[in-house]
Amino acid sequence: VSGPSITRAALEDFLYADAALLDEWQLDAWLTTFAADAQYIVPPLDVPDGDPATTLCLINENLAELTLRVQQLRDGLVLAERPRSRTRRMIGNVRRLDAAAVGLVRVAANFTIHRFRDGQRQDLIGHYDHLLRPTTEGLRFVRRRAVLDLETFAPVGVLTTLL
Amino acid sequence: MRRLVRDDSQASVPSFSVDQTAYTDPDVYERERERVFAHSWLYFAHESEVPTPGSFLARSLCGRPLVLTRDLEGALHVVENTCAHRGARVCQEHRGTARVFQCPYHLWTYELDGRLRAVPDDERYATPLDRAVLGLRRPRMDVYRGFVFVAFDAEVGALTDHLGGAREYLDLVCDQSEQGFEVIPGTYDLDLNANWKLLAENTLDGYHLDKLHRRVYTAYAAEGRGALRRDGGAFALGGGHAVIELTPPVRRLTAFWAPPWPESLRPTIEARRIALEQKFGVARAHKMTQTNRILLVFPNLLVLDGESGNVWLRAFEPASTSLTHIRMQVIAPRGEEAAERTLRLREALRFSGPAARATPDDIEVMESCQRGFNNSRESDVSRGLGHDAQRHVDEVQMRGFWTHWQALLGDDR
Repeated sequence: VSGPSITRAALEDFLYADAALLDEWQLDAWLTTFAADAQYIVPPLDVPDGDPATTLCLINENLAELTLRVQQLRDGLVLAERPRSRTRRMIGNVRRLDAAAVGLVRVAANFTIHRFRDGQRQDLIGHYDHLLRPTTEGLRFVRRRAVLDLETFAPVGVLTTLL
Repeated sequence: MRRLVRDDSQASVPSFSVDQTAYTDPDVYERERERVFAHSWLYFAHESEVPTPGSFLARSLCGRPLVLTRDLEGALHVVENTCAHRGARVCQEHRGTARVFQCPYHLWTYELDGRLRAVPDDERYATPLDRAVLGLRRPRMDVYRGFVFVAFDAEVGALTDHLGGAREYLDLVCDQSEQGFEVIPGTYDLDLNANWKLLAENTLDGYHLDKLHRRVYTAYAAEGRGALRRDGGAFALGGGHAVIELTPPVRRLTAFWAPPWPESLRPTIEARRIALEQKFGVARAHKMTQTNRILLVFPNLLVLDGESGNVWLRAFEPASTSLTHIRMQVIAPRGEEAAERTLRLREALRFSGPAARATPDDIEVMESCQRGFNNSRESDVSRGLGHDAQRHVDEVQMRGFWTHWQALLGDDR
């Protein structure tokens, strides 16, 4: 797969499959979609364009840290995901943007994640700004950036859902 | 109201417990609003949040919309964000800079210190408007080493008297940076579906750290951060203020280098430790930099000094018996080197925050406690009774909190 030849439809397929892996809790398979040098970033609600070097993000992880996060979720160590929540993801408005680096594909999309657990409902709404690297095995995340539109985490105070 | 704190700490078989209706009863909540929050100094903001002349920060405190401003001469003010005319907000933005505030409704205009500057078309009033009365109201405001406090009772005593025994612990934090501290951009605003007193207890609870938060230390071990064996003390500081101390720290950017931090930072961090020892003496410097502390400044500020190498602020306020607003922020030395700031921010994400490794479990367990209180038992707060020295895993700090709380609420049966 070469960068410029990837169609929007292919990017949509990739993002739909990504959402399905998370909703179906196939977390180990999900981890394989990250490149070794990947970054997973969720900026804070009040500074959505914040630079992780100077802003206190919600999440700013390399692949080793993300792998630990996934292991703890999978092994039932995260109390707010034991039993785990039900989630349903909707992906839309998928657009291909100009990538800043040669050989990478930049894709933007909107997401809605409905989460249900313990009698409560949480709606996580925002947009993605991902950088993907085409490989012989398919697209791989170099940067997974999820920006939430929420103003606060009410009514549910935790963010244990993988965005 | 009947007494809810049962203190038998002096009995032959000592005990201390709290009736769980203290967390659930709407009458208790109303009484707290009046007796705890309406007549106390409350933490509001850090002065670095209004960095330059003309800066403002609009934020609510106990449900009351306020604005912190820095006027063009640099002086700080706290004004109500409520027009003197009909009550609309005069400041619509959360933060920014302004020369004046103008109410959008009838364009009444105010100075940054709240004085009324202009009223359009004022010839239709029977008598000239009394500008001295028609400013934005100003609650009491005072600043301690960058921490801005507000009181809604004009008769409340001096802030330094209120801080009392908490003051020396705030000093231990503030003295760590010669150039002062600043809030790093990025705020965690979250809601806890549980009573505010649970947050105070949970944050001051050293007993749960290696139990509820096992996964934090599992992850540390996986990251080559070594095992965590800590000792420490617990202290009730009077006035509801409380602290636990934990030593040794895991690592602190101020003056406690440890792997896996880069060797390149080690000389800088070591030099700071030595400089602090020379300035404050070895004993005090050790307390500042080789000991972590978790401080409650009664009633609404928690300072977590050293956790994940950082200084965290947790400001909180009750919104109902079972809803608490929490604001988490990190403060750091003003103007620190970019490499240290970047490392600080990565470290910060390992413990506190809605997506970090500890806070989600704390929130989950506190909300679980709140639901459990519907079965109305008593919470045991007796750890450490019968022992002279109080360790960080004991509960004398919580007993101090509860004793002060009960005294404020009164005991008139």
